[in-house]
Amino acid sequence: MKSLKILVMDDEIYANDLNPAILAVERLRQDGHSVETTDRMSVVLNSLKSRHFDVYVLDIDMSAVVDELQDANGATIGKVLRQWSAFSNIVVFSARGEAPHWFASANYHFQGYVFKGDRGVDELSAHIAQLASQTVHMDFSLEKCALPRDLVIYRHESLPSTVLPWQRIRELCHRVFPDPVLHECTRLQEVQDALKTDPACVLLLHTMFRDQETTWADLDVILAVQPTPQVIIGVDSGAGGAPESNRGVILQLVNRHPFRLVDLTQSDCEVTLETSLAAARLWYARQEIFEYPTDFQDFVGHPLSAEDLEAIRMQDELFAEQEDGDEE
Amino acid sequence: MKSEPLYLLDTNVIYDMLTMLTEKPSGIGRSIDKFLSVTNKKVYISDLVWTEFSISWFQKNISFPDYELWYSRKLASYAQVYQQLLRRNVELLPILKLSAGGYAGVVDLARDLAIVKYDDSFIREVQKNFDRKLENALREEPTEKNRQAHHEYVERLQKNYYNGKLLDGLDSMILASSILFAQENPKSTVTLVSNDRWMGTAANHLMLNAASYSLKNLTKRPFTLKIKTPAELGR
Repeated sequence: MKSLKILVMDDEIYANDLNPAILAVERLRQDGHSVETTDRMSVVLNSLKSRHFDVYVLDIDMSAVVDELQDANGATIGKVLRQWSAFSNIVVFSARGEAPHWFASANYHFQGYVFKGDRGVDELSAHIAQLASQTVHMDFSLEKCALPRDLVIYRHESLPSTVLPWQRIRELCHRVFPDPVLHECTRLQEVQDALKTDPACVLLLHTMFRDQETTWADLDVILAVQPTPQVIIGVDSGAGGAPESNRGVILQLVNRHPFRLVDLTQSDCEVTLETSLAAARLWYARQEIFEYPTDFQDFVGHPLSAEDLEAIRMQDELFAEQEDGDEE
Repeated sequence: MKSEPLYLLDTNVIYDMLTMLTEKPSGIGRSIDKFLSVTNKKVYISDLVWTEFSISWFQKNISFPDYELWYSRKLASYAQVYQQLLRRNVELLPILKLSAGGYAGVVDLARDLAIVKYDDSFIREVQKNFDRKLENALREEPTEKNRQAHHEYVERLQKNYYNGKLLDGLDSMILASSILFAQENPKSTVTLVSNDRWMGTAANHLMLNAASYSLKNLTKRPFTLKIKTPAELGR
């Protein structure tokens, strides 16, 4: 197994106890990885200027340590890292994350989300081992794919009629995809059959998937077709009670890496769904690359080296002078 | 009647698009980004240009001591420019699929363009051009801010006066593929957007005087190819 360079960010990493973060670092070192630690979010972002890490392991709740970064958490940092580079590997290792962090982790394609429970350290070790054995496929082809017209839509009957009724879903699909052919399904098995049409996108909407092997097996078959087509999942994080009670299922979904995971309890979920469909259309057959995190530019610094900038600047100066000269 | 104009991007323009990632985008970067964001015309990038950019981005000036950091930063910015091209609907032009002989046609024409012996009057004109620019540059008092850039500019002009370049590197290939693309779309005005003035000067001269240079591939099929800088796009 390849040895990885890992940066672990956790606000309890220097505590005088054997908390899960400290145990995780020990374990990852035993696994043969090179592990560095920090309890500061700003250190992670600033490291982009001077250090390379293969994987960032991030805690969500960083409130135990005072940092120059305000109103941020591990999910924010992971999001910025993924915006900075679509090739940053992020694994969340946290006990305190909440629904928005779970959904953000899926939507920014974090490589894993591990709950610091009884088996947390083992699960983290397994996630990192999986990353160490993977080879990254980079697709930078500008050739336009022939985008199919077919869309596969699954809407479970348990969804209330007020939440994205069929007619609304059809309208959204027609807004994003020109003249789509919709395959409307109410069972996951039907979705699997409809995949034979080589659809442009698959949309799965459910109150909450049941945590049972058959469901996961069906979902695995569907999600395995990504990125052609991309699969968008929408669930109600508050189904049957507090989001906490659905954490296990939602994290299972996060770790299955759908293209988007939409929280249907949010008032703007229709807008989110529409932008998700548009993104799936743009990134059909490709790895998604996010727009640069301009909000965090001061912390991250642009990825261009000083030499690159100098070369471009010189060319620009030259160009400007020539323009002046020509005008004379 | 002319059909919709078509645009092709040259490699140096892609370089400048990268500066849009920074707090101080270059003038050319701003020009091209503005053009791409408002135009409803078809804009292409040939696979040749995309490959040349990729080569120059990843295979030059490699920092061996900090290779992993260097590469991750390069990849991050490369991915961003790729993302900009996709979002701006820039389409790939695969030169293999050009009807006028594809890759072989491009190579044939590029070789013809590369071995051309320019008229002496053209070379003198180019040299005079450098001389005029040099005079202008030397007359100009550099500011504190642009002193270094001005010095480099003057040095470069002085060097180019004696040892210049016209269609170097992949310029001939890119020009040849642009000409074949324009021939494939004779009813459209095709514009190659390039920041390379010297390539533009040589290309315009050769296209205008194709017959006297015996460039048969330029005369046997009609075409309209213009070469414009990003700043000229709005004019």
